[in-house]
Amino acid sequence: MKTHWKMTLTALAVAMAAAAPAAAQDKADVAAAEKEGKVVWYASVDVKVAEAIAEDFRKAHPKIDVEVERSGSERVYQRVNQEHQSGIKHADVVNTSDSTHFITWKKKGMLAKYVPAGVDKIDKDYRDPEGYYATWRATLCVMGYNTNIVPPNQVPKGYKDLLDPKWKGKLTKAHPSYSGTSLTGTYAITKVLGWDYLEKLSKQNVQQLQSTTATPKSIASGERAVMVDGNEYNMFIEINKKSPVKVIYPVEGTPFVSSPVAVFSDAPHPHAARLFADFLFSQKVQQYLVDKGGLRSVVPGVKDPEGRTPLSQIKVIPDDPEGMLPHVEEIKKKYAALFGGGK
Amino acid sequence: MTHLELAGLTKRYGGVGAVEDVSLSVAKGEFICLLGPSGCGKTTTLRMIAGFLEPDGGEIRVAGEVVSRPGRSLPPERRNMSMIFQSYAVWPHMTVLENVAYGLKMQKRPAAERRERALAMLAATRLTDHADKYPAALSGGQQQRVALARALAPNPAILLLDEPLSNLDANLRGEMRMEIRRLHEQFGNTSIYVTHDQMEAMTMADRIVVMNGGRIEQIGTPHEVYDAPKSRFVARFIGASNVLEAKHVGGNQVEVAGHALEIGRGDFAGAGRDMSFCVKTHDVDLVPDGTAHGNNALPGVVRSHAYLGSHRDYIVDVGQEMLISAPASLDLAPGAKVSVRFHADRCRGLVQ
Amino acid sequence: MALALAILVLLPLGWLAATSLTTDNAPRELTFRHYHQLFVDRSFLEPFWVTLWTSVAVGLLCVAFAAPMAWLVSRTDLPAKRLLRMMILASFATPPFLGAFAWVLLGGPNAGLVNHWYYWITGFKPFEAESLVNIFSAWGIVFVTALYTFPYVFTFVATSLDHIPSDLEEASAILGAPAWRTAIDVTLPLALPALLAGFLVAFLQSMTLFGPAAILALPASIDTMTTRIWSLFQFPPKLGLAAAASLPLLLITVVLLRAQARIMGRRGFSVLGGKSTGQRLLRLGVWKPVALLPFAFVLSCSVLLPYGVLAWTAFVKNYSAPAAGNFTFDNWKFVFLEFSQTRLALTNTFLLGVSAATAGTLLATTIGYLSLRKLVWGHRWLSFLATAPVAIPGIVLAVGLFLAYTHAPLVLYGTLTIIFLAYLTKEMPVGYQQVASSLKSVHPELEDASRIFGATRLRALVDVTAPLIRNGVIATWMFIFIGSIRELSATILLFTARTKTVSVTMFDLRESNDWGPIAVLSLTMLAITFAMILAINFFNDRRVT
Ligand SMILES: Nc1ncnc2c1ncn2[C@@H]1O[C@H](COP(=O)(O)OP(=O)(O)O)[C@@H](O)[C@H]1O
Ligand SMILES: [Mg+2]
Repeated sequence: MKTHWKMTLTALAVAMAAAAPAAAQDKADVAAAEKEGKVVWYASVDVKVAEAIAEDFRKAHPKIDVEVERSGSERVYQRVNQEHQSGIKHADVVNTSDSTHFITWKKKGMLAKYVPAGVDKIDKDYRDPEGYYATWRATLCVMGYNTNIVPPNQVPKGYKDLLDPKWKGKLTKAHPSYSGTSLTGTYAITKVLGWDYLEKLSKQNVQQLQSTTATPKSIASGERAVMVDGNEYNMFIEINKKSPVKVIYPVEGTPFVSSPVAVFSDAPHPHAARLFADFLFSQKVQQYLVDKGGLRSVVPGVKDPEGRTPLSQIKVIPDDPEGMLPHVEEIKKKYAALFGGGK
Repeated sequence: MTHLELAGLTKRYGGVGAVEDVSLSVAKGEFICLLGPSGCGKTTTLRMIAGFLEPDGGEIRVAGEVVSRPGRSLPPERRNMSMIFQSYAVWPHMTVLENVAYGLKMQKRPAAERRERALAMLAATRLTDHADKYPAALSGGQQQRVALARALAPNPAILLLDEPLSNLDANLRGEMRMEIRRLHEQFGNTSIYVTHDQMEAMTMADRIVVMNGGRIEQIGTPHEVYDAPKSRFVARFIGASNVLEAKHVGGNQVEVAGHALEIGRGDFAGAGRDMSFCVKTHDVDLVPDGTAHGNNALPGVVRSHAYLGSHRDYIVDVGQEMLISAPASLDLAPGAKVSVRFHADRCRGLVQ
Repeated sequence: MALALAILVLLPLGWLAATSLTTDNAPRELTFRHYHQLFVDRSFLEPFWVTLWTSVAVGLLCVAFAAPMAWLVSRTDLPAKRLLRMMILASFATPPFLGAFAWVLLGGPNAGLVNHWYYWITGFKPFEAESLVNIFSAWGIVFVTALYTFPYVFTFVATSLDHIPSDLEEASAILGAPAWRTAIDVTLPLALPALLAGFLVAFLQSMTLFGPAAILALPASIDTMTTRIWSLFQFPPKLGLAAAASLPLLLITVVLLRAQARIMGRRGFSVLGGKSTGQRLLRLGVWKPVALLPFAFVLSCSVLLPYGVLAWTAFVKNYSAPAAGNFTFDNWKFVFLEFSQTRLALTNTFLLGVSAATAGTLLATTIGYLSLRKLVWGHRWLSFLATAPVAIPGIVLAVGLFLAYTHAPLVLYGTLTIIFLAYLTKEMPVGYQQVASSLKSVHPELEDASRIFGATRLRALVDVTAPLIRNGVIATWMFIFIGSIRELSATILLFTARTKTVSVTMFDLRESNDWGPIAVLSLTMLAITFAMILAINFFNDRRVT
C-alpha cells in the first residue's frame, strides 16, 4: 500500500513538472528543449516549405528533431480534435489556414498562452490580444491560369467571368471541407457574390480537388486551364519552377487568408514547442516564407521580393474568422451539396 | 506364451462401433494378419494397439501389462513398437540413413552404434547403395523397404503393418511379401499385419483374424480359414467359394430347389430351417448332360464362360448362380443344359 | 487461443452492431434512426447506387475479359504464356491504389499522358476536343478497379479450365464440332460456375475497395460507400451512421461469399476428377497476334503504363512537361532526405508488416495444426473463426476496431496496436489457408511414424512437421507481410500522426498533388513487394517433394 502511494505521488509530481511551463513562461528554455529532443509540428503549409523550415531548425538546434505532419487545414483540425478526444498527446505546435480553428481551440483551453519573440511587434489585427496565437503567415486565395492554354485576350478578370460557358470543364477548385484557405475564400465569395454564384459555378463541371496547394499544380500540369481558388504562394513556387502559369487577382477582390501558429497546452514537448514557435516567427524564417515560400508576412521588417505585386496594390477581402465561425458547417454542407465530396 | 492380448476391445465413432468387442491373444514371435474388407475396423484396431487411439471399452495388454484401457493409454512413444504405414510415411526431408537411424536416435543409442545398426538394416533390405539419397529419389518399392528397415532398426517387440503393400504394383507386391516374411523370420518380432488382400494373408500369416463390421468373424491358421470357414462371410471373403442357400432336411441332408443334397461337414441349422453351405469352385463337377440329377447333383444352365488357359470358368444357373472351375477341355456354349455334381465331403454347412 | 481469436473477430462486429443501433451521445438509447437515415438520405442512397452499379460493371468487365483470355491461355498454343502469367502476377501484386495514382497521371482528361498522346496523334487540342479517357469519373473507377480485380477472376477461371477434363471436350470434337463450337457448347457451360464465382469475387472486391474510389471519385465529385464511410469519420465522427452504413457491406459480402461457395460446389474446384493430361492445344496459326491483343491491352493498362508513368514521374519535375530539362533527382532527395514522415512511415510500415506477419503466421500455424489434427475440442470453430474475416471488408473491420478500441478498458486508438490488430484479423484467413494447405500436404502418418519410434508429440512436431511445412510457413509470412505493407482501406480510419504508414502517407501527399514523391514511394513499395515475391518463389522452388 505504501509503495502504491509513493508511486502516485511521484506521478503527480512528474505531471506537475510537465505542466509547469504551460502555466507561465515567456521565454523558451533551450536546455530544457534539447532535453526533450523533439518537436512535433502539425501544419497546413506546403509540405516542401514545411520540411525546409524543419531542416533549418534542425541545423540551428542539432539536438532537437522536428517531425512535420502536413495535411490540409481542416484535416489537421480533425486530427487534432480526434486525438485530443482520445487522449493522445502528440502535437506540439500547430498551423492551419483557418483562423476559426484557433478561436475554437482557445475556447476549449487547448492552447498555451505564449507570445513568441517578436510577435509583440506584429500589427494587433494579426494576433490574439491574450497571446494564444498569432498570424504566422498569410496568403491570398487567388485565381490563376495556364498561359499555354489560355490566350492573353481570354484571361478572366474575376469570378464572374468564370460563368462563361467557354470555361466549362476547364476549371479547378479546392474544397472548403478540406482546405482552410478554400473555406475562407469560399466564404468571402459568398459574401461578395452570394450562394447564387456558387450554384451557377457548380454547373461548370469543375474539377474538385482538395487542397489549395493542389489547384496550382493542376493548372501547371495543364490538367485544367483556370483555377478558381488556390494559394498565391503555390503559384509563386510554380512560377519560380518556370511552370506556364500566371496569377489573377479577381476584380471582385482577393480573399486574404491568415494562417496562425499556436502552441498546445498539453504539448508533449513544451519547451521545444516554444523554441520552435520563436524560430517560426524569426526574421530568417519569415523572409524565407516570403522569398522561397511565396507567402505574405505580417512580421515587420520582412521585405517582398522584386516583381511581386505589393499587398497595397491588391484589392483584398479581409478574413473574418469571428464572422465565419458560426457558418463553417453550413458552408461545408451547402458546398458539398453543390460540388460533391467531403460531406 | 502370450505376448500381446486384446480383450473386449471396442471403439465407437459417434455411437457407431468401428471396432466391437475384439479379443485376441498373440504369442511372442507370431505373425498375425488382420484380414477384412475396407472399413471393417482393421486400422482402428491397429492404431489402438499402437496407442494413437484410446479404446472406449476393453483393454490391451503387452506381456501382461495393461497399455490401453478407457481413460488411460500409454502414448505411442512409450510402447516399444514399430509401425509401417500404408503411405510409407518415409520422411522426405531426411536421407535414407537418417530415416532408418531415427528410432535408434530416440532410444538415445550412441552415434556409432546407430550408424552401424542402421547400415546393417540397409544391408538386410538391400538399400546400402541408397543410404545418402533422399526418399524422393527412390522408387515406391525402395521407399517401402526404407520404411521396413526403419521399423526394424530399433528391434521393436511388436511390429505393426497397415496395408504396407497396397500402394505397390502387383509384381513388387509379391516380392515384398517374401521380403517381409523373410525379415520376420530373421528378427522374430511379434507382427500384426493389416490387409484386405486374402492372398497376402494366406501366404504370410501364422494365423489370420478375419474381421467384418468391427467384429472378429474367425481366427485360425490360413488352412483352417480356407478349408473350414465358419461363416458365410468368411467363406465368401476368402474366395474361390460358392455359398448356396438351402433348407436343412435332417441329418446330413439338405434340399436345394426341390433336389436333395448330402453335406459332409460343418454346421446344421436344424430340420426345416434355412441354412447355407459352401463349396469351392473347383470342388464340383460340371457334367454336360442336363439329366444327371438325383446323384447328389443339381440341374443347371450355362450362362457364360471364360477361357483362362489352364481351365475354364463357368457361370451356371442352378436356381442360384454358381462359379465353377472346369477343365479347359470342357467346352460348353451358353444356354447348354448341364448337371452340377457335389461331393459331400467337399461341402460345408454354414449357419452364421 | 479460441477465446483470443473470438475476441479478435467478434468484438469489433459486436460493437458495430451495437453502435449502429444506439444514439451517438449519452444517454445512449436504442434507435433505428441511423438505419432510417441510410434509406432516406440522398447522400447515402446515391453512393450506394454508385457502388452497386460500378461493382456490377467491374464484375462484368472482368469476366468479359477473363473468360476468353483464360481460354486462350489454357486451350491454345498462345505464345509467351510464361511471360503473360508473370505479368498477370505482377498486376496481382500491384496495390490497386497505386494503380489509381498511376492512372491519374495517365488518364487525367487534359494533362494525363495517354490523353497527351491522343492529342498529339489526332492533332486535337486539349479542352477543345473531348479527351480520350477521363479517369475522374465513375467509369474511371470502374476501369481502374477492374484492372486490378482482373487477375483474381482470370486466375479463377484459368484454374477451373485447367481442371475441366479434356476428354469431355474431345468427345465434342470427335463428333465433328469445330473448336469454337466446342468452346461455346462444352467448355463454357462447364466453366460457368467459375465465371459466376469470378464475377462475385470481382463484385466484392470492387464494392469494398477504398483506394481507387477515394483517389478518383473525389475530383469527380462522386462518392462510393467506402469513401462515404470514410467521410463520416471526419471530426466529429458520426459513428452510429458509419456503423449502420458498414453493416450492409458486411451483409452483402457474407451472402455473396456463401453464394459463391455454393456455386463452386462443396468440393471446391481443385479436384474435379476426369483426366486432364495431354490437353490438346488449339493451333492459332496466323491468329496469334490477334489473340495477343487483349493481353497487350490489359497488361499495358495494369502494369506497363502504370509502372512506366510512375518511373517517369519519380525522375522529373513536371510529369506532363517534355523530357528536355525536366530530369531531376529532387523527388528522391525529398522523400529520403528531407521529408520527415518518410522515416516514421517506413518504420511504422515495417514494424506493422513484420509483427502482423510474425503473429499472423504463428497464430495461423497453431490454429491450423490444432484444427487439422483435431487436437482440441471445438477445432471446427477455430478454423471457422480463422477464415471468417474473409467476409469482413477492410473498411468495415476498421470501423469495428475503431468502435471497439476507443473505449475503456482497451483504448488502443492512436497506437500501432490497433492497426496491427486490423492487419492480423484481415490477413488471418489468407494465412490460415496457406498454412492449412501446407499442413494438409504433410500426411498425418509422417508424424505418427515419428511418435511410434519414440518421439513425443512435441518432438514429432519439431523433427517432422516443422521442417516439412517450413517453406509454406515462410511463404505465409511473406504473404501477410506484403498484404500488410500495402493496406490502405482499414488503415485510413485507424491511423494517427504518430502511426502513419507509407500507404497513408502517399494518400496524404495526393491531397496536395505531390506526384513526384508519391511516385518515389510507389516504386519503393513495388520494389519491396517484388523482392518478397522473388523470395517466395525461391523458397517454393527448393521445396522438397
Ligand atoms: N476418425 C473417425 N471418425 C469417424 N469414423 C471413423 C474414423 N476413423 C474410422 N472411422 C470409421 O470406422 C470404421 C473403421 O475404419 P477403419 O479402421 O479405418 O477401417 P479399415 O482400416 O478396416 O478399412 C469405418 O466405418 C470408418 O468410416
Ligand atoms: Mg485401413
